Amino acid sequence: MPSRIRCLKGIIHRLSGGNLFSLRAKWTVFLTLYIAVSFAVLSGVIIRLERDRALNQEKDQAIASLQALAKVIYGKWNPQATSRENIAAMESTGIRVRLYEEPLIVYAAFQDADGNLRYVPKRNPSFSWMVERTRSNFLTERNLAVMGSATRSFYERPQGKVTEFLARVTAKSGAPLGTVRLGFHDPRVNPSWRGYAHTNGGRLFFINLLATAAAFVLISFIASRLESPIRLLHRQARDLLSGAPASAPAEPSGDVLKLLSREMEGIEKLVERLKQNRSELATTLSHEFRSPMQAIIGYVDFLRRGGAGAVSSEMDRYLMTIGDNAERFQSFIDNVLELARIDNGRSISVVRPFRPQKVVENVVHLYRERARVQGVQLLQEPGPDLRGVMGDPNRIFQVLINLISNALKFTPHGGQIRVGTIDRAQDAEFFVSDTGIGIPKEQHDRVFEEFYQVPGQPPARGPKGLGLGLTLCRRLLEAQGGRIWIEGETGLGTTVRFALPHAR
Amino acid sequence: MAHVMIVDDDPTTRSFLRDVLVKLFSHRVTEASSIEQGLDHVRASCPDLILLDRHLPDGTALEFCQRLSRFQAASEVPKWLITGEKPLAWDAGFWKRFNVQGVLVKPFCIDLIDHIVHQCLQESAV
Repeated sequence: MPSRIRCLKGIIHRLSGGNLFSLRAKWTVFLTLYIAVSFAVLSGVIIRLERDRALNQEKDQAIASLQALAKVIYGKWNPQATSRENIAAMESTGIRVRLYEEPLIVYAAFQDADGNLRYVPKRNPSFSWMVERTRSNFLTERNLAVMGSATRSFYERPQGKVTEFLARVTAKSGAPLGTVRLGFHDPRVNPSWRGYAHTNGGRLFFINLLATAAAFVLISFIASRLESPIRLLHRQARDLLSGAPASAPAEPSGDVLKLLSREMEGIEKLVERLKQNRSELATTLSHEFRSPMQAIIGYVDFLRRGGAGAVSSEMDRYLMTIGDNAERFQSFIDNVLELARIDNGRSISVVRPFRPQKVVENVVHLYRERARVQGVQLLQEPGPDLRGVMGDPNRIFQVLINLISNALKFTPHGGQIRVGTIDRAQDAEFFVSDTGIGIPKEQHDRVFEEFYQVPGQPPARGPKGLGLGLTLCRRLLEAQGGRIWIEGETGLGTTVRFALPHAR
Repeated sequence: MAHVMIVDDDPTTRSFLRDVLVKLFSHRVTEASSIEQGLDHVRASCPDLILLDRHLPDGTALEFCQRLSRFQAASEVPKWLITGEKPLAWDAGFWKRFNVQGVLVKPFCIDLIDHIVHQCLQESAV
């Protein structure tokens, strides 16, 4: 139970992750941010595609216009050759290849042979304008003109970086006529990209904002729905702790994980307290039962011994019945409390190396006089000085007490109980061996069952037990990684052996 | 005849032990219900055996033993502890220092009381 609560607490802690945000806030912020970023990336991709498309369009236009220009020039030079083949021939001079790297003419200038420069003060000249200007600058001459090789240079213009192409125009005779200068936007600057972002960015931003807001609303709704069972859990836990009726209507507000985590702590403390209480109750009960039991059992014994005058045989029989039943009751309480303690899981406190001889010695010391009073000899067998054994010495002490009590019960006057240890290769073995009535072989496994008693075998003294003692021993040992078994035959005494691992 | 001192705060246990020791076995009994009272009695007359409850109103059996060990004459008096709890551990070596010879776990039988008083008388005779 406590380990399960610890696990739950861990999950809650992982969910709340450092308590910075509540669960709902965290998930909402996270998912909304995620969606906003996704939208932004998507918009960027759209803008880029749009720009590429626009650039391609502009480039196509520019190419078309310069081709037309060239065609006009060529056409003037050779009026007959305006056919498609001529254009192909013109293109084969390489002008197009050199000239048309980038789109959109931003300006055009014409320079005559004397070096006089005439700028055309018009941005983004159109095709028809280009034709017109070219005619007026160069082609009114009688000489036929031809385009020479183009050169390229870069410089800054107010519109941005510009790539300028120079195309020399030569007369047929070879005399230079002038130069056509054409400026193009530098592709690295891309005013058209800026332009697109400028014209459409606002709209895109607005759409993004709207979509993000919608996502936020949707996500917080979903998060709240997801959170509601946890809220319910919190309410149940709170009611459980406060003892309020389960159907408290008030919905808790605030960070549900913090609330839940607090409740979990409360539950953990409650469980701890209950366990503490139970353990204390067991101790107190056992303690409080024993004093009155001592009085009952003791005074019954006292009366039967004639402490208050002679006792008739009939009265003696009644007194014996009282005494026996009181003892039965006592052993019942003992066993039940002991079982409760084991099931609690608190019994095995620490498994650590210990010296078994010491424990055996103490138990034998504790029981020697009691056994002697009953006419039974309790002996500690001299054994090897064992290396450390792994276990809880207090629990081993208890197992030995149980086994010796059993042995005392079933060993008649004049018998003997031997207790000792044996060093085995794989583990350390303890044994409690008596000269009592013994247990039939086929019952050897069954005696460890809860409430099982060997039929037809009343104890040599004391009340009949409950059949819990050996069950207890087995549970205690198994919890420490040990095992227990029985040897012996009817009439040959019983040897109970148990083994624990060696300490490394 | 032995002089037995009973140090126990439970009157029923005290009267039972007194009845057994006095009426059945004719020993002499001194009773105390606390450490202080017990020590006073020991100062007045040193017993042959002390039956000592593990938990007393003004301390534990161990405290009683520790305080008793300051009296030269009485520190070696054999003692038996009385307890209402099933012992979870027993360190014979530790208690030997105070000459505590064992534990009487309630409910104990009259034979056992008789036995330990006898044993103690035999020891003191030796």
